[in-house]
Amino acid sequence: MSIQSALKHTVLALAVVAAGPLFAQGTPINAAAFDALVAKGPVADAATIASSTWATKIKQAGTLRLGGTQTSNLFSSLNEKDGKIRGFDAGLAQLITRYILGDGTKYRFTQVTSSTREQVLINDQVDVVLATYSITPPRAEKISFAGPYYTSQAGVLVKSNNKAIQSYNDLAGKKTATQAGSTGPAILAQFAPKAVVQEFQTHQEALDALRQGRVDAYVTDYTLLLNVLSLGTGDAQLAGAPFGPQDLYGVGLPKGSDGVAFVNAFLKKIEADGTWAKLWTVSIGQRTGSTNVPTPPPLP
Amino acid sequence: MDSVLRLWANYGPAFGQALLLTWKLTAISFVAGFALGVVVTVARLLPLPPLRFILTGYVEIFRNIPSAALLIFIVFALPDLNVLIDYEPSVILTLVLVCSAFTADYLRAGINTVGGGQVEAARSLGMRPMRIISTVVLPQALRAVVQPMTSLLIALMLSTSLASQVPFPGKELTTLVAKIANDSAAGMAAFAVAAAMYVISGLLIAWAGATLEKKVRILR
Repeated sequence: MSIQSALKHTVLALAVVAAGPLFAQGTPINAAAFDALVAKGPVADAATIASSTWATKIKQAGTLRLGGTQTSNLFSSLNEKDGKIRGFDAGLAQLITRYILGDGTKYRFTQVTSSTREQVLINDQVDVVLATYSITPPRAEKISFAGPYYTSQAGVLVKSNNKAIQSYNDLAGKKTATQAGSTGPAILAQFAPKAVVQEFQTHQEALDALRQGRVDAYVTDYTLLLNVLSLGTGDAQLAGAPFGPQDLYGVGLPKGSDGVAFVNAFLKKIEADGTWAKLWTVSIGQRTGSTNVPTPPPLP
Repeated sequence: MDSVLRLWANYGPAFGQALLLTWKLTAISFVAGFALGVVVTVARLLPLPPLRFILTGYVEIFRNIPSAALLIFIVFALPDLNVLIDYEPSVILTLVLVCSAFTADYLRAGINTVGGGQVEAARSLGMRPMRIISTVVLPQALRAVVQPMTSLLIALMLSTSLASQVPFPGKELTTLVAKIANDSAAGMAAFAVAAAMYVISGLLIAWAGATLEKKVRILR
């Protein structure tokens, strides 16, 4: 699939170049600030590591095997120039790596998709999955989740000249884009059952479809939509406030792993010392033009 | 195995529908792609150098472009050139273009199996070029390419999974697998069921191809 996706992006890049900067990719992340933040993350003492078989195994291996994504705009996106992944999920993964191994760069990356996330944990191909992984009951039967570490809701994006759609209530009969493999389709089925849902593989493709008039609206993570608006191209607007259930993102771990307690303790630590807030600011806040640092969802 | 059975209990009908859609897409693309491929092949035989040059370009381009890239180009890049094609026709167009290019290529090899002496003999009988092509060359060429065309049909059947890359109306096998993986975290079992269906479809095509080949084989 990687060759295919590489080609896809080449072709898409061509398409975007041809189209000009409308809806182009968001404000780039401040890489230097991001890297500095990860390098300042806390490091666990020997006793804390020894208290968890999951962490001890990683410590002995000397690398953390991470399952993640490369194309999630604000959460984990690959910088082709230096080969590093950066974003909110990528930052957490590197902070966990540093917490266990003392060096945030000692992770080995495996790309996962929404079809393979559970399986790579079941097969012991990765130690941990951080990939905007919504906590759902069917998934929690197969694997264990630490967290939640982030919460989001859905939002509706329309073209700025669209007066017909003021909120999700106006989506009946309208062609609505969402991302395949996200919680979007289920949310739409619940809140806008009469919408004509079209599922796209990537955020960028859904945006292109909106720009090209293939769809009337795009429903996805509200934060991601703020990111589109932050570009200030003025061709898109939000229709109404965020809606839908709280979408809680968790850290995927092997079923029954004692890594759950370990990662939850780590999350409590970075939420308390301000690292979580700084990571949110660098990865999401500065790029979406929002300064209100959210309160992380309560940990168990 | 029990996870596969549980999946089958829940999604059996959905898998049946997905398989039918996969077959339908395959059939439509193959019939159109094959017909177009024959037309391209015949046009390449005509003594018109510019046309020949253009069609050779056509065959080489669509034979050597990954179909996924071609589909994404048709769906997301063409609208910027003011050509907006809906998803279903886009997928079928992609499959037809690729299928026609391969058909033209295989048929050309099939035509090369027809002895030059036969064409000369037909000419000396006063037959016109189109008549020679339609009654002497093509029937023999078509018989010679049953085997590669069978392989092409199987490849085309597998390529219908392209539909999973765009918001295709309806779910073929691969789209259904992705959906099940996301909804009920039953990724691998769904993959296994879909893979079995693809394999069975491929075996059926191979069997039909072999039967046809036996029937029309030219004994030399």
